[in-house]
Amino acid sequence: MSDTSNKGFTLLELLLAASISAVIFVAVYSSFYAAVLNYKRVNSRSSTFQAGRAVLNKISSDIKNSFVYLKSDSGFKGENKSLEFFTKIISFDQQQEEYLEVAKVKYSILNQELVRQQAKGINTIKPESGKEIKAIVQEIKDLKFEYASALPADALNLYEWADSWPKDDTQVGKLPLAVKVCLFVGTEKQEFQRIIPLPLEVISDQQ
Amino acid sequence: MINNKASVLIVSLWVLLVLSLLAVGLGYQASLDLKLSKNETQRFKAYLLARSGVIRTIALIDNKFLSFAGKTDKEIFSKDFEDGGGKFEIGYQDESNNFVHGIKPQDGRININILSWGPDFQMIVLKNLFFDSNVSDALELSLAITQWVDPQSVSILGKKDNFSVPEELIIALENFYIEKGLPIVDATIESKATYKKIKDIIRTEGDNKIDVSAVSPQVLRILVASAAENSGYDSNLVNSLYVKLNNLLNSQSFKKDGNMVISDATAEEASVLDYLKNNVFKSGSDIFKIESRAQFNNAKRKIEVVYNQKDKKIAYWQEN
Repeated sequence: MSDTSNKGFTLLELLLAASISAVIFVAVYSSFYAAVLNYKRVNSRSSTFQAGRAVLNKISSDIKNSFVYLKSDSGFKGENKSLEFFTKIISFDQQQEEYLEVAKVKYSILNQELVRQQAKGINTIKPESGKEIKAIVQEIKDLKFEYASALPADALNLYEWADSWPKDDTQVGKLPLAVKVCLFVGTEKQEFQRIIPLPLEVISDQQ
Repeated sequence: MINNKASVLIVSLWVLLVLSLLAVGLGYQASLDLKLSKNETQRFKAYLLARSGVIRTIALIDNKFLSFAGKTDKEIFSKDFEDGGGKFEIGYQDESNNFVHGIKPQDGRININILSWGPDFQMIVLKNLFFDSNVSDALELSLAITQWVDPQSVSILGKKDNFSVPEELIIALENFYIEKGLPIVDATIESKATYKKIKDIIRTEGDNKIDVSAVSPQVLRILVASAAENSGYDSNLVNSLYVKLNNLLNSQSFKKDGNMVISDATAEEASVLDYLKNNVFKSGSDIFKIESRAQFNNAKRKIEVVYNQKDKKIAYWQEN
């Protein structure tokens, strides 16, 4: 009885096995590559959404906690690409106890990064010194602000949007009814939009 | 031949291991994303609950609680949406740090924008406010704060207008300590420590009158001391009048008819009391602080609002 297990493969068998393996390998690799690409895309989109949402939450909380600094000048200075206002922020003292303090905050785009500038304490009224500058999210490539103001009672609409605040002398000592914030995030410039009503104005204007 | 067949099993196990690692990694990432998204949703729902608490309380204040006659404070000032719908509670910490359902009138506090009292009495009240709160340099501080808000002030720094929110006082205090010669870091620490001592007895909204039914013992002591000092009386009169007035405000007869008569008052005490009644005290509150705390599953949010019932206006809004 001959021992068949010691026999080698023929060239044809080897070529056939190599071809089949190559086909299987290419199929498996391409589907794996497609899955990885897809995962990366979804992951990047998810982090884009998270970044957009987190930034909008921060802007929203700063704007809602804002107040009129002076009756003659509210300190709320809004442009299409930047916004500066007085607000209240949470800080921590030496005992790590939290407390509220006044801050002047400015959002703008600097070198294709969303920047939040903040002056606290005495620096609030000395805006040229001691400003903390923080690039909050690098993925944010652009932003746009719009400001709502109330229209007269006989107008067709209750309010209108404008690219700046204050637009005229009647708005200098007031806050807008709401601020519309548009963020453009990531290389695809995914747009995020939120309308932030200002509690101090909305309720009083409903009277 | 049989030995060679085992390689299929080993290759399969390796493939299975690689696939399992991939699946676990992806699953972990997905669960993290899901958790983030769930937290965000819960935080937003808690925020909506806290806001609805504020809006409901404003409606209650404007309707003067008529529709809630006979209900307990907890029933009026809280709402629990069962089956995981979350809850909100309106209340504050009392002197013993216990949570009490309800709203706190702010008219019992001292308005630091008291320009209508005139600069002299304003300075006396501010000085006694700092002095009674164990803040050193009370007189200099009161002068600095008065100048800070004075529209006629000639100093370069200063608001020259009323404080919009109580937290602005920290800036004025910081400026005072810097001008006194403290390094900026120490001035910042000192200003926060001083503000912490007085923040619970001051306000910036509403008129300058103090609601006698909402006044705290400390504020009452400060006002009696200020009125006595304004009339040129000494500290002995302050102590005796404060005790008598405090007893009167806690008596059942005052709570019933609000009549402020001290039968055993001396002539000097009566004159100080008259000054307080005519210039400082009032009955009833227009300014209310609403603290709305909401919870949705593990997410908690809090909104603090000061509502001016007279002007029907939210004067202060702070959310976290």
